[in-house]
Amino acid sequence: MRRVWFVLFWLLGAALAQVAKVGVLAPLSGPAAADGKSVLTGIQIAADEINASGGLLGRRIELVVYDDQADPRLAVNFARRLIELDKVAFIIGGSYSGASLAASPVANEARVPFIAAYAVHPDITRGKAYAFRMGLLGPTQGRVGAFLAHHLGAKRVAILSIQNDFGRSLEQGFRDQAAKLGLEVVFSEVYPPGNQNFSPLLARLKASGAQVVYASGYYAEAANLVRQAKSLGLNIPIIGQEGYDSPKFIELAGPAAEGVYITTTLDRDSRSAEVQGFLRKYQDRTGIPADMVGASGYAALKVMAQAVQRAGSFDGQAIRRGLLGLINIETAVGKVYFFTTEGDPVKSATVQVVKNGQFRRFLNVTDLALLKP
Amino acid sequence: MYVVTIFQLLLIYGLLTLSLNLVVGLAGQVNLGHAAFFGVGAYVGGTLLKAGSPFLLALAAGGVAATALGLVLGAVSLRLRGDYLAIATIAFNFAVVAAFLYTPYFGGAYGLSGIPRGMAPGTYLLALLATFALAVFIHERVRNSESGYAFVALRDSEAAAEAIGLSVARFKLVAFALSTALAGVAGVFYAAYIGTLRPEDFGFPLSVTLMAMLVVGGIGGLWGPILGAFLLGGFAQAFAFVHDYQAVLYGLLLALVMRYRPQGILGRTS
Amino acid sequence: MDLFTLTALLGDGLAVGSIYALTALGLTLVYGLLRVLHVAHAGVYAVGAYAGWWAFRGTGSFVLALGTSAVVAALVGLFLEAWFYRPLQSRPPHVALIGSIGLFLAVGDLLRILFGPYQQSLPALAPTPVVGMLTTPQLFVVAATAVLLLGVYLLVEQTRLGLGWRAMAQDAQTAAALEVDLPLMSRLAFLAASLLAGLAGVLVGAYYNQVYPTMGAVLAYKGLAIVVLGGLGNLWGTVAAALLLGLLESLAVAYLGNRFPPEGVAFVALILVLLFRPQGLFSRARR
Repeated sequence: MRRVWFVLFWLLGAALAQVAKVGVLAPLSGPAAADGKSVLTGIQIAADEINASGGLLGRRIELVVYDDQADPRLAVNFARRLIELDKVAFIIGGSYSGASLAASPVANEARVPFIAAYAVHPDITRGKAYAFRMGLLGPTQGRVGAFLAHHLGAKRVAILSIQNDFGRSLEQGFRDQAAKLGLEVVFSEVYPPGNQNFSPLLARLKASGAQVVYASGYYAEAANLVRQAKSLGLNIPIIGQEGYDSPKFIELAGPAAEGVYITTTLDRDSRSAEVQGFLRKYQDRTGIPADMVGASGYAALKVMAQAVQRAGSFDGQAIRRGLLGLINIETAVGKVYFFTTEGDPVKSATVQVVKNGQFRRFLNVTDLALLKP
Repeated sequence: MYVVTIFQLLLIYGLLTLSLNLVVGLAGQVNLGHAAFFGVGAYVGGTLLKAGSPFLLALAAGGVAATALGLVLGAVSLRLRGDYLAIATIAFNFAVVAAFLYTPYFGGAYGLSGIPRGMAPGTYLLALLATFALAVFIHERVRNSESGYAFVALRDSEAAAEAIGLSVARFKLVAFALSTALAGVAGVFYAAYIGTLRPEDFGFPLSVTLMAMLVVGGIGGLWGPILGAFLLGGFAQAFAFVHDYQAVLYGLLLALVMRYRPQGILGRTS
Repeated sequence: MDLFTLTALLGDGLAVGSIYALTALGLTLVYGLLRVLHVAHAGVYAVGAYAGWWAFRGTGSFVLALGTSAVVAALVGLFLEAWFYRPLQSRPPHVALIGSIGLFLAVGDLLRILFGPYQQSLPALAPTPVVGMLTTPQLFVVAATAVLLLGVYLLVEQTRLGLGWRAMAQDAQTAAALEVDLPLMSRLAFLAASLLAGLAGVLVGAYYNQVYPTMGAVLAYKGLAIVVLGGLGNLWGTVAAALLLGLLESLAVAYLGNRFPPEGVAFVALILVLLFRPQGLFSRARR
């Protein structure tokens, strides 16, 4: 009898040995830890889902996760480690732009596909055949923001940007499109990341006569911004972006979050089974509603899995071709029409608005002229 | 290759701790802003490398730029002591980072990316090793020379050193110049190594890390700084399996070593 | 500049300055007595904030939150004094400094491990306008700070403890010769400083409705700048510098924006002060 168990164990071991290793770089400690946790959760949900339905080309996905603390030095070395020691099939970059910028050339040189889940810096993919991204480029999202401002009937706009590549690239896109639409920028300021006190700037913004505020930031800054705007009696519409896209924004901003618009890619009212399935699983697993970062991680792994499926193998070159061949796929972060040769997705965007303490759809954007990077 | 990559980073850290030791360990000055010189070298060298200039030119430019700034800080150090100097160096670090963040020429908030290595990987490793050896040589020459004894006299008592006729000002400036030149050179190697630079990479946290490496390894000697660089520099990689407990362990390491072995692991109890 | 904007900026500046004052006061008190830059003070601040948040979450009482944060922070401060700072007193200053920074990093990450990286909300002070554009949180913070500063004033100027502190700050050796109990002074200083830091932490947590593991970071650096500007060890100079900085920041950001890097300017100014008036803006030249 014992021999049977022994053989069974051996077989089990052999079966489990058939794994597909997938590398993940995410900031699990340090200042970006909140997003790191979200993106990892999204990736884990996707991995479990894929494994439950037979795995990747019959193999069980095994995630090899390293904490890069959003630090390029760590990212560079962990990327090498993933490629040379762990021999992963591909890498999901779940970190911020700085770390992703350091990691993507390493992966590209080694011909290992790298997909940045939500980082916005254009150079992550530029000139690198094996580097892809899942998220919208900053300027693209900025253009959508200007379109929304115009749609809301505003002629005079105020811009408040977070002083980093995220904020700058958003502002760039916004200004370009605003000029085309004849919007006048009557107030423009920047603030350092981590800033909590917006009252001085908002006091002056109120006096500028702007009809809409385009304010970039992450949910922590955004919550304070919105809260203080309300307490100063600033009642004009506020347009945020995917940085706001987290239930934490609503929680921390309290009643001041009502009516805030965000341009993002996670549509809570989507009729896509992919999106609703993800939202439900995330809520079940963590007890809190999903955010864009988590959705991006989930989508990144699902998309890579589809590419591998198409490729029929784990060879880097084949996976790359598989990705470039994907057309019109529904993901948790919008419908991807296709990937450009640069590795950036042309995909739909959505505008959500906070209604009764929840993100709800306001409108969807499918105009390719706006969305093409 | 993975091991080589890590080794190269540790060598760069070693260059930084040795250079910091010249000022802190040997000349007894405080410098909590050393990362600024590293950053200046990296940005200047990186910009040149990106523009296609040969590596040696970039190296020289980075070193010179860092030294120029180093002399400024050296001059400041002539007027300040102890805690005041410490705070001044911190402020200096912040100011330099802010300069990078707000100067569009250096990429501003976007930083500088796409910096080429400027030479073959094998050559790079050799060049880095050679520079490291040179740094050790300079370090030991200074430490064991008349200037070295002067530095130590300076560290132990400025008043006494002045009393026996040592030009305190001259030695402080020389210390800062050598120290920052090496840091600038390390910066250029780093720019080529990592390919992408951002202002926040050279901020106060890095200066603290460098100071910590020095202090944990043991100030003053040769092997202390090197041990500190390799130990703390390789910490994240060595403890990768601990996943997200790295930062707390790192902090505890600093606190516990300081508490129970304040002279550093290889330091001498004076 | 209309009245609305003026009151908004004044209220904001005073509130922010008050918070700076509460934290920096502890920092300068410790420095004055022990000549050590207690970077871990920012860690005590964060621990106090979490203690207050936890109490508020459990009981819904802000008063209890304040009390809990004060007690917990004070205990942490006493522990640090006994286990870390006093044994290292005879060592070169960089030892305590680096170790202190290590403690600060470790505490911050420990908070993340225990409570998660996400910000926690502490909705004890709803931002409703009160007078002109002054809001309730602002008034509360300023009032609380005024009360605490009054307490500190009475303690320092009117009690034997305060006398002992002043003696120790001026000349520790002579103080010891006159039978001032130095270890006790030190312990009580840490207790007072940490208590203030903890309260500051929970007040900030409520003011911005965010309590998070790295919330001490900004104050760690700004605190250093403020104690230098006010004069290392000069209690009231530090308070003045803190309030001044709060007001200046408010006005400067409103009218100059962040076009010039705020840290860059502040720190260049700091270097200038150190070079030309190292005793701070408010002390008489001592050295």
